[in-house]
Amino acid sequence: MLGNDCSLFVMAVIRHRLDYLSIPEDDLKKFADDFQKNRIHETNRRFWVFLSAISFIHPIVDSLVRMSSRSQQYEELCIAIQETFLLSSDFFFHAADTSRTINYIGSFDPWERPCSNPFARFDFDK
Amino acid sequence: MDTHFDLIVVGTGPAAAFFLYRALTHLPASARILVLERGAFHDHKWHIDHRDTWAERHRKTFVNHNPNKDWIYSIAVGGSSNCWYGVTPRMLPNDFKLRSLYGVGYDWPITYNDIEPYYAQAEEIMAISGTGDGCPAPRSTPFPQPPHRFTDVDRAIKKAFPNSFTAQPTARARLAVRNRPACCATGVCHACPVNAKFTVINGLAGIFDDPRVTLWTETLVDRFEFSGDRVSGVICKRKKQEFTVRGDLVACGTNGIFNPFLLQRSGLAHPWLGRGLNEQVSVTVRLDLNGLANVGGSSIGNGTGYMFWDGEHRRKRPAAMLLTSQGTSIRLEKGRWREFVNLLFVFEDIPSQDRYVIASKENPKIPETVYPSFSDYLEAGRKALPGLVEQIANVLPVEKIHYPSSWSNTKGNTEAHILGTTRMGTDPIESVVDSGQVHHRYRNLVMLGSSVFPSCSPANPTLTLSALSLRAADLLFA
Repeated sequence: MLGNDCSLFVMAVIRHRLDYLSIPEDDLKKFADDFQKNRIHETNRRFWVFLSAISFIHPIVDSLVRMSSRSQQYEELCIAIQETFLLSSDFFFHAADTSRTINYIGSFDPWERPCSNPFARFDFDK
Repeated sequence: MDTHFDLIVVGTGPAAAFFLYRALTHLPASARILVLERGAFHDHKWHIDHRDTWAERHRKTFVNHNPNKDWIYSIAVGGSSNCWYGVTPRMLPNDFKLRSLYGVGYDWPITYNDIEPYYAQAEEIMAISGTGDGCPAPRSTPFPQPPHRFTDVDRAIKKAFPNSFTAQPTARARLAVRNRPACCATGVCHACPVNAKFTVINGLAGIFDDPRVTLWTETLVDRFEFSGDRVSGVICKRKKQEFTVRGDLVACGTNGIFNPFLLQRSGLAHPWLGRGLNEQVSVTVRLDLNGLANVGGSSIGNGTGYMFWDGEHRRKRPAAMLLTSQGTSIRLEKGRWREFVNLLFVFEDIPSQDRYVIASKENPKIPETVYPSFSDYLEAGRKALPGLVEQIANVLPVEKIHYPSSWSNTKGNTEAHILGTTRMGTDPIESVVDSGQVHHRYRNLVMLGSSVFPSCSPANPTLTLSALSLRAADLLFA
């Protein structure tokens, strides 16, 4: 039985697509746990759980799925994973410095953590 | 139960609320006012807990067989002020004279000068942020709040279009005001987590506490009764009972679907009752940029462009408003995270008889919207779009332009506005209400909201309908 956990898939996507970033494993796992609980819904969960189970060969799987009939759905989820991770971390609050180790702050949820848009400024021009 | 009132107001959205607010300044202490609201009262905490402001699932309340054209509204105390994004441009003077100037559409029976003082008053009540710099709408008063910060992309556009690009006029506070904090660009304005945008609940809720006002929520108005040339009763359902309340004056401020439907259900017929259903239609075009990041703004949308709005082109294609946005999307390329901008082109439309609201054949107790397709006028706007985009692209370091395959990136192609279905005019044959929004025949019935708009304009309607409501109340009671 595959269970219901997609977190290994989420972690594999970030390791593969954002491979130039230094991310502590604990932070990655915490993000993946939060993301898969909040953002991966039951209607398509079995496929992501399967990908999670074979995440040890994720780079190969990534290439194959991107050529398959599920490619759009897959790509949308991979984009959401990367975007949400970067926004859930301190990456943009340190000027997107890729030489730093990036830490997960908490779920990028506008209602749980409002006023967290890292691209906004509120001062007045002099 | 005493069922006679001096004034009955149907609805609690901005149109009804601004009318009631102004009426209360004129009416004596002995006045008795009944407000009937279909939805429930939900406070800000409820909105946050539910992360939503569509308190009653609105799609169950009407029939729409066109999956490509949606209509959105919030059924709750405060109406669609709960779910709006707080974008508040004024219409421009020529928007009121489309037929006279450009031979298309319809003229309003009022001019910009008639409504201008009320624009100023509505802006004061909502504490609108903005600046007159680059905004062609004439003003008699300054904006109540300073403008939001531009992003770096906005600044580049402003440099190229100094007289036709401005900070977005908005009800999302730039500075903390009364009981609202400043906007912090979270980007989920439909259920603002910090309550920064103006809503009826956070800005006008005191009107429902006035001792002259009785508010009945979860009360569905079914139809009106007429006797001679007057509304003699409002038939409603509350707690599973149907009963009739009577008012010397009835103000109907539901929305552009239910305003005409209630009159139709009450037995009224008119060539333009329910006809002319329309709203703006938008297209989002993404520009990938090289070396310029879209950062630094203080709200979710910080720029408004008027360069494609007014002019002779309106004889053949619609005016367009340009909006820039600063969400939290990312360009997933190392080091180029924000090197893109989404440009929203909002096009006006022209009302026509083939788009309308009627009683649903499947269930005559609810309305149906009929909107077969986008108009040829709108399609002319879409065809002209690449030329408009090019003018903006020429002033930015663009490396790629992404056009959508069809209208609007919003699902269902809606800006969440509903216009035109009980339109105002001087001719009782060509319009449902007069220039004061009073029904041409039933002189104790006033229609409130954007259903009275004879033309669309690219401008979001809430500021205009709020100003009209203030004006309508002054005309009736002052």
